Amino acid sequence: MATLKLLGIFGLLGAYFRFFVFGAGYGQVDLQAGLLLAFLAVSVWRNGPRGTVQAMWFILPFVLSLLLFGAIFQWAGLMGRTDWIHDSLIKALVFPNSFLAVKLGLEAITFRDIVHLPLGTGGKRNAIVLKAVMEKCTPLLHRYRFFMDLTPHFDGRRWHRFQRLCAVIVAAYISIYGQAEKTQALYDHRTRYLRKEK
Amino acid sequence: MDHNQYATMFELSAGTYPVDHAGLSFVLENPLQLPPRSCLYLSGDNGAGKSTFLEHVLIPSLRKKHSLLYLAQDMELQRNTIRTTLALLGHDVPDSLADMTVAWVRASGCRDIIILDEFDKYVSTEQLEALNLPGFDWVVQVSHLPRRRCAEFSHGFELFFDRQEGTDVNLRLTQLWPR
Repeated sequence: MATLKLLGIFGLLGAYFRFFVFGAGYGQVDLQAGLLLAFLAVSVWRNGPRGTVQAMWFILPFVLSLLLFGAIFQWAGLMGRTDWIHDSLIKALVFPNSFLAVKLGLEAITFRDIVHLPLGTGGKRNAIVLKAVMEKCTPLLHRYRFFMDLTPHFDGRRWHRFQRLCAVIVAAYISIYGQAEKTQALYDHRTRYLRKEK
Repeated sequence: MDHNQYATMFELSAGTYPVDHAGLSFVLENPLQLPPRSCLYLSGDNGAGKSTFLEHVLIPSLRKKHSLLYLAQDMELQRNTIRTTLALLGHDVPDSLADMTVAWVRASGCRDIIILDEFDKYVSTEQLEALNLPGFDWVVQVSHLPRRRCAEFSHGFELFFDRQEGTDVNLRLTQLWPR
């Protein structure tokens, strides 16, 4: 059952990317906008309005930078093209769509599903650690952004926003590394000493 | 920007401040107006909403006029951003949290406001002194440890969090010194 569920999730993700990212649906703004609304609705249903806003807030800088570069290229008439705005608008829709599709897909996989997968002990261990670390570290990104937005250390410096973003990424990396080690040790301890109740 | 030249008071208007996601609504009957060289203690039961008030009401309001340093309750997380900030600025990164925080405070150049949310549970009294709190114009502290008067500050205040039935949290300000 778990195998079928995972095949279904990855099948749907594959179909999404096949049609909406690398296929005929890519250039259709209306379709992509509708898809975004649908993903947002599912995200609100699964994670609540606050969780959805946090996720969108996280990718907002990337989306805005896509639109900004599109506008600059359009204004500069780069490579003689006049469709930069249209192109960047599509990317600004496809990017959050893909992010939400992968996020919702991976969130739908539970620890119980992983336990029931026909994987070896090592494979299950790695999958469980990966999921646990991702679950623990995603909320941390928002916390790190909060801390870095507050810190006055980069005020008045050139590229201060970029430096803050770098600090968030490095701090997240340190966290992921630490969490992976802790979770792995915890998993090993549990599997070694866990007693089955009769 | 030198924030002090624009901001001479630490202010928060009277009013009701709802924090929807936390299910709390902070009621401040009188405006919070603290002169420079003031120490403000936030007190109340566990779960009264002190940290929520700090992060969702006080800090967003103060940031409009002041530069501030915030040492959060979840220092296990914040230490990662402190470490990376120091590294990005090209400073040495000490191993101990206390030394790291001192280096972080010094590197900021901020002498306006420092906010400590139970930071004293991570460091000794001597290590806390190394932060040179009297060098700041305002110090805001949440602590469950016995309070000591800071002789270096000309004014001391306590903001008490009184959580009511439901979502309301009444905030009462008391002047501790000078009386």
